[in-house]
Amino acid sequence: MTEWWLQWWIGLFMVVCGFSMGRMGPAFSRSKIGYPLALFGLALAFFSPEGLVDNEIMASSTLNRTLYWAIPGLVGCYTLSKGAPIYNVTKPALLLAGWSIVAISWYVMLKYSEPFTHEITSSLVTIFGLLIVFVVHIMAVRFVESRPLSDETVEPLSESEKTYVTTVLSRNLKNMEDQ
Amino acid sequence: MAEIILTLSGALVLGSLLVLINIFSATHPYHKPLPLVISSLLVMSVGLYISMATGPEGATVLDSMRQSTSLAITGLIASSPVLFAILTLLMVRISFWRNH
Repeated sequence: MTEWWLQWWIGLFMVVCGFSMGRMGPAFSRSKIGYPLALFGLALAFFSPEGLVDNEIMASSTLNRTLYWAIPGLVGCYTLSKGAPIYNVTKPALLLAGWSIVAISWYVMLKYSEPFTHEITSSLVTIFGLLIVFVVHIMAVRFVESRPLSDETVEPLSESEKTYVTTVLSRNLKNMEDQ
Repeated sequence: MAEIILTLSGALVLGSLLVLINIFSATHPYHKPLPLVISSLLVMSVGLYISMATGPEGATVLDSMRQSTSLAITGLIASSPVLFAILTLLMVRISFWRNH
């Protein structure tokens, strides 16, 4: 029996792994390979291999049909968020481009993807199951956070961290002086 | 009914896997992951047990996990049009919102 079905699962795991790595840590030192890894994983999952079982084939085809409209949809929403008014300054070109892409995404979804034909029960049950995991996870986090802190001495800032903090403080103080 | 229970067990396994992958890929020196790993493994075991009990006889743990988790993935992806509709409404709001 071929073991190529693992490619699909590894691809999905890499998507989650890449997204987690990309969101980890402070903004100035996030993993650079996180999002490329997620994209690579998405490509692995998109080109589904042989050897998948019935439910996996259904999940794989649902994923592929969704990606056709979801990727332009997310690009459109990102463009809209960049063009939306911030402090009453709007970027109409970005808004127009964003809404065009979102409209195309909706068209592709409604025309080719048959989005609302799937049985709603399985979606609701899945969301309910994920909520159970979420509640258990929150309880575990609360338990960890409620434990007494250890007596270990926190290490001082490293040279690079000191430089970063100094730079941020001096930049902000300079801005205050300018105002 | 069996498919609903299988989907629920798959969702438990899928959610636990998501938590575990997140813990291992986003770990850092100040993390205390052990209780989180244990709780996720416990939930995953419950999900696996239910999927083994509900699934076809003679199926291995891996087969049961594949079947139930892929059902949950289908259910999750199938709800994405609703999420996209909500996202579109939010986009309408921020596009025409004015800060007074």
